[in-house]
Amino acid sequence: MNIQDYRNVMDQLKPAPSLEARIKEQLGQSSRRSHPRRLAGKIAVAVLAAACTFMAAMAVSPQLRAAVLTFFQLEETEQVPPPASAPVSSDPSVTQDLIAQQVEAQYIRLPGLSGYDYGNGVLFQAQRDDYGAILDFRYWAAEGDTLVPLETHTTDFTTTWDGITYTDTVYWCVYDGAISCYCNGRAGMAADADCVISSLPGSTDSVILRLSQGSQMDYRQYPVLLDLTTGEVTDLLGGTGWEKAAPVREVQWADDLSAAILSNDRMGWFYCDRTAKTTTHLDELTGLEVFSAYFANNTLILLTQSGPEGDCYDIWTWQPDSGVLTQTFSQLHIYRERDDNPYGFQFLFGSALGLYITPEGKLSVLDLCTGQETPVEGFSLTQWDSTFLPNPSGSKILFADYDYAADSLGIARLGVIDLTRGTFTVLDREGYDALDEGNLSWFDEDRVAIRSSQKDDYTECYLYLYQF
Amino acid sequence: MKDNDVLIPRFETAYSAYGATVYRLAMVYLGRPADAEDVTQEVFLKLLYKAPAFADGEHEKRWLLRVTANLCRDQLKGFWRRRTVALDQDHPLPEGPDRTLLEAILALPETYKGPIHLHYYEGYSVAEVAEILKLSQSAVKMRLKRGRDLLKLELDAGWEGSI
Repeated sequence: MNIQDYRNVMDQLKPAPSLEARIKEQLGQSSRRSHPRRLAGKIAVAVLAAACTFMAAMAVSPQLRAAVLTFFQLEETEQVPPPASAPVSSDPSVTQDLIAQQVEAQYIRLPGLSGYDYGNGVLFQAQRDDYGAILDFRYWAAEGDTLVPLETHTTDFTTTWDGITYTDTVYWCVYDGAISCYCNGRAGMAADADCVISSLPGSTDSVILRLSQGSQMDYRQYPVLLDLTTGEVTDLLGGTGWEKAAPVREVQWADDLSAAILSNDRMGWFYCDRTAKTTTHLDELTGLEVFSAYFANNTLILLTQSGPEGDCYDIWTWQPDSGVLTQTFSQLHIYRERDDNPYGFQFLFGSALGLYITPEGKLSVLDLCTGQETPVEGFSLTQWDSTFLPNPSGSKILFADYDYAADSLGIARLGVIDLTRGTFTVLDREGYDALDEGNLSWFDEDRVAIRSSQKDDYTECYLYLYQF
Repeated sequence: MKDNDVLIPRFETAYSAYGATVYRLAMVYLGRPADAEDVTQEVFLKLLYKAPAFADGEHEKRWLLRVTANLCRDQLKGFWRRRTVALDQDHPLPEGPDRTLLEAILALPETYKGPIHLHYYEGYSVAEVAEILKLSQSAVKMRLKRGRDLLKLELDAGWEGSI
């Protein structure tokens, strides 16, 4: 193929003539947040499916309304540090601040855009040559006003799955009893083969490699265990009958790797018991028509079941050891943004929690395992444009509100719901638009991270951490 | 809410200038006409309701391309996308060599699609692609090289691509 071939093909791609009219039709609708035709449906179903946006029928369990979350709006506003006016050092640096005597902020400056990223509570940098080869890899812990260099270890591995050989180097460190790890994620020049690495809770010597092939509809994956000390790769599903679930699109693990949930586009959800060496369809095990399934913990699985109209869901828990099946919510109305007066439930993916918003904007946190609903007192949402993200353990929920006039994310309000303390604390921010904010997530269990870069020339990036 | 009397002419102007540009990039990422149209629709709704003031048309175009790339990447990461089955049997091109070429382009890993398309089709420099996709220039260079290798894309004599 040459460049002209590429252009010729691209020139033939044109939107359907009816698309322009369809968008105009959207403009004529009343809701400012109207969504595209199919996207809206997809989002609604996806929320439910995957992550399960369940909207709770609030009449479900009023007797469980025991605790409340108290809302605190901090009086002091954060003045977001602007970009550095002049280069100071080629090394990362950190300054610290205490906002409103309550929020500990760490402002980390990262000179250049040379491959900085973070994960599992550490900052790292991959320095590469012009062709992408890693020249150096460094880890730091962010402690107070200091970036503490951590020892970087490397482990080489080679493994083969389905005719593709995956060879790579893992860069890793151990900090605070947990592994942080990184690899390039490619299988040589194989077009559709990837290798994604992830740490295991509680393990400081092994990680999971998710080998994948194909893209989009042909995507499939297979998990193996990598011993970081020896580089030895161990098959995780062999002998379990996992082939029933092939091609596997996604694997979820119990923390101790004793069991996995395998999903397949066409056939649904399977429970793989590595100890018993069995793989069984979850419909068969539970008697439900399972719409989606997730580990709530090592011994409990969260199941969703779609209502007949697709606008509400039932939520169940299932204990694999005993077979006990318990319904925790029924007929949960799904929050659909495109509705005129939207209300209902959204799942907090990655946790066993959900949120419920009433038509008046009142917010509650739902524990999907117990059926408990915890309202937030003194807070309401005018529209659901906000972000809510659970931390890794599900004990806290990050909240962010955006300034849509900003060029980038424009995080105008930042907050944390602390389920242990029973508080929801929100901090207003100013000066955020001086930076190009591009990413918001949890840095570790307790700290929220906002990653940004300098505007215009992008010669420097920043990682701002907040502990509420 | 902005009035439709203002929005519709604004939309018509922007769509006429950049509708196909947005749609093509969405097709490159997503590969299905219906999904590309959905993203195109979402991009233009964002343009009308959430876009900043633009210095000029080129600024607007780059903003549209960036938003398109972000929305497509979000979709590809999304749970639904990873679980959905093929809804669209209609291929955008008829059987033939061009269809084979398009399938090769669509089979590229997602990370290479944006840089390849913006550089070799839209004609942006490495620095401009880096700015649009929020990548470092070295990352763009790497992705262009690998993407080109995977596509077996041959450079024309005199091509001034910056890698």
